[in-house]
Amino acid sequence: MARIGEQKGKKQDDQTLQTVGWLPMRLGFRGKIYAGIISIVLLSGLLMAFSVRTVVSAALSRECKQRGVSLAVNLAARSEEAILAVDFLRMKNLIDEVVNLGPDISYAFIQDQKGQTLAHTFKGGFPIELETAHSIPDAKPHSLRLLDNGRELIYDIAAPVFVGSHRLGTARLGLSKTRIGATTRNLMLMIFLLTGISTLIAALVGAGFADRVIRMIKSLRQASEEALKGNLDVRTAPAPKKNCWEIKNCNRTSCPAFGNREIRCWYLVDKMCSEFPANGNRQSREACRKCPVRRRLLGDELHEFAESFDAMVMSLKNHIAQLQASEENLEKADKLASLGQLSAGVAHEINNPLGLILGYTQLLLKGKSKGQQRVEDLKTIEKHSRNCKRIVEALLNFARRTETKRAAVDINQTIREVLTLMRHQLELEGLRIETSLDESLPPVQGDSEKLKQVLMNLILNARQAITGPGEITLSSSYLPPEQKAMIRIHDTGSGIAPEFINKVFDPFFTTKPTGQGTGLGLSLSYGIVKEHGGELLVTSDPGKGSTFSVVLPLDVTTQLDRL
Amino acid sequence: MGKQASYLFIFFISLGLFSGCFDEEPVQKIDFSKRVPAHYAQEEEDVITYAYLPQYSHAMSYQRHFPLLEYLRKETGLKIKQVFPDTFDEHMRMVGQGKIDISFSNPFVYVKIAQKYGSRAFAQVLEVYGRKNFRGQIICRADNQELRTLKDCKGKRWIAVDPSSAGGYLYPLKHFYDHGITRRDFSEIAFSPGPGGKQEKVVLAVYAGKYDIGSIREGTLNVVADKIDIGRIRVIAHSAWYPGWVYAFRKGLDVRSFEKLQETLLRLRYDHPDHRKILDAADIVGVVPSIDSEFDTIRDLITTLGTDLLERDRFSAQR
Repeated sequence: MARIGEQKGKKQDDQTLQTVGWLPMRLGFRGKIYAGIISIVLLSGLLMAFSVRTVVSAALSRECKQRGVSLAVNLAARSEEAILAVDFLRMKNLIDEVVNLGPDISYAFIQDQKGQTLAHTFKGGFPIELETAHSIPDAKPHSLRLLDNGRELIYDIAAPVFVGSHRLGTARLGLSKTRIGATTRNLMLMIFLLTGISTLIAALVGAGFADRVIRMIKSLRQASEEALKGNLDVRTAPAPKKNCWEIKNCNRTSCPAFGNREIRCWYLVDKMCSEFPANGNRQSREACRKCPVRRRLLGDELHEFAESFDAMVMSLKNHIAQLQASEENLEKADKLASLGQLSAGVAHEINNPLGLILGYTQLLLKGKSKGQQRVEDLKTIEKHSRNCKRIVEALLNFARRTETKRAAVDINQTIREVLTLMRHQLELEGLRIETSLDESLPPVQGDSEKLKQVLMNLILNARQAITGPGEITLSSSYLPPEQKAMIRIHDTGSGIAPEFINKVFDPFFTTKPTGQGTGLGLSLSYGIVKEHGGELLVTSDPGKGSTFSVVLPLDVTTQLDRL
Repeated sequence: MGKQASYLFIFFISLGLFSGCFDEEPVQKIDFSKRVPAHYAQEEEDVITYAYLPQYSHAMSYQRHFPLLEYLRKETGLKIKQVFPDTFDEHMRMVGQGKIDISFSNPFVYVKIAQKYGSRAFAQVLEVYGRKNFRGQIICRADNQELRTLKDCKGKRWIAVDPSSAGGYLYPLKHFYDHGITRRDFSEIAFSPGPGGKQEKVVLAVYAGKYDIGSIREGTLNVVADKIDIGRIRVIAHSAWYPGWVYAFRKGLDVRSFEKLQETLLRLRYDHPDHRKILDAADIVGVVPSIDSEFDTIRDLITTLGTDLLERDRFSAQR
């Protein structure tokens, strides 16, 4: 039994999936809006039409009957003189006057006290059955009877004609019920017409709103699809016409909201406006809700949804980029660590045999005089052994992490010291050395020797990139917002090809011919800068030159002093 | 749930659609195709026609004499029918055409129909003050301060009942003449438009201010007391007394019928309870015999007024 019940429930669920109420699911949003609006307006119109019809029909019928009775009674009162005088012309004029009062009055006639018709308004003879169809006793002031002549329904109204208490005759009047019905039908038609027009207007208005919603939804859907494909450069909300810095006349260029036409300021957590506390928690969001800028620029819910979506996508993009960068760094660090371990292991293994080879070679050379071929061969072995030892030392240095000293380091002074060592040699090689040092640059915290090593590596790298005359520019700058120092080494060399630019800091990567470099200099420099909590970045314009930027955090004590 | 909503929707729509079909009024079927031409029944034969000179409206004439006619029919067994001429002239014409057998008129009209058509008087009515005679009244609006005496009426606009009216024209005219005022002394003499209700119309015309003075038979103000505030009408003068209204039979009427009628009419007594109702309705207190010679005074009056009486077209506005 449970299984049957389950099957029944499943079947109902399937049916629900196919339909929502009686609207099929395949009906689009616009279709649902149309269906809803049209149903509401039509239903309202129909309900109104039928209720109005009932009320109006009854009221109209009542009023028409009252009118008919009034006309009949009036005719009776006015016809007494004419009946007494047997003045057929006067009687005819009276009844013609009544019939001409409206198209709903079908006929009128006057009878004498014996029921004989004295005057009537029929053309082509008087319908004899009508004469006796309706009689009224003396006691009644008027009487009403519904007749059917086969073509229409007629209210026959009779009013007695009296002179004092003496009955002279009867005035009879025919009021078309069918024509009254026509008035009601016209009213219904008008209501239906108005309902139709209202439906059309409602549909058009609804279509306008639906189109906007659908457009926004489509835009969001397309943006979602693009995001799924990995393209996070999407925008769904229309560009704002006014921005917060324009409204508040703000010129804080350092504020992340300033100049940002992509994201609304209330989505940014580190903005610098006075109403916004910097902790970015719920109070901050409350502050934004009350901000006049938000109140002025906030659109409807759809607009807000679209802007929120755009903010989310941008945030996602930033997070993904950060994640990717972190992953790259981690990968690089892992690679370096693995390589370091490998290098240490290999170097260590090679170092001993190398030492033996070099030792025995020197032993063999002892006491031998120059000029002999054997001596020359041994010298060659000694030279290359020493080369191998140098490479092994470099590998061991790379793997060895020496402790980084922490002290306040004057960057400009460090640069000058390095240039003092290297300027002469570089100028001899035809290179021009330019400097642009920011004297207001505060000290950084780090190891000055290691930083010199980095600078020397970078300058050597720059020298190697330049063939022929060229220029190497060293500059230092202070970055106050980030509280960092930047050192730039720019060369006018051949530049780095785009396919290599992400590999320059990889160990053993070199573009120099074999034997002219170990490929470890930039890797070592990268590691040292990282140890200092900084960044080593490179930009290059192939054929024109490259720029290496070292960004280092300032000395904390100096920052505190500045505060 | 959706299906239930749909069924409910269809139910209410159907209810609304068909609500108008439930008509509870009973209907009678009539065949309008069976038509007949005008078929007014011919007058019965041997019907004696009776007419009241239309000094008042037909309804008033009818109400006043209906009980009398009922009495005459019952007592004589004759078929008597009241007819209603619209004007004084039509009354006289109908007498001449033999359409009025018994004429109840003022003495002025009697004298004319006696002269022209050979009618003969056989009875006179006694007015409410018990006299065979009656008189006319010259009236104006009570707020008209210019009209105090007859002489003040010179140059004014005068509306009379009818050129053939005794109390409403002839008697007042003689009264003006006796006081040196002729027809030419009035700026306008108009006559009440017909049909019927001519006495009342004079009073209403003066009341409305359309005319300065009016002439009516005495007793008319009581007739219109329910229509206007008669306190706003003032009687300037009364005419002399002249013979009152008269019953006359047309020449050639069956003698036996006439004798029956005369005898029955003259039997009416005011002290008889049943007769009183009849007489009160007619606004008279009795009927007395009369002969033609009693109206010679009227003939003299006409002679006195002479050609001036005939020049009505020059000074009066006919209806």
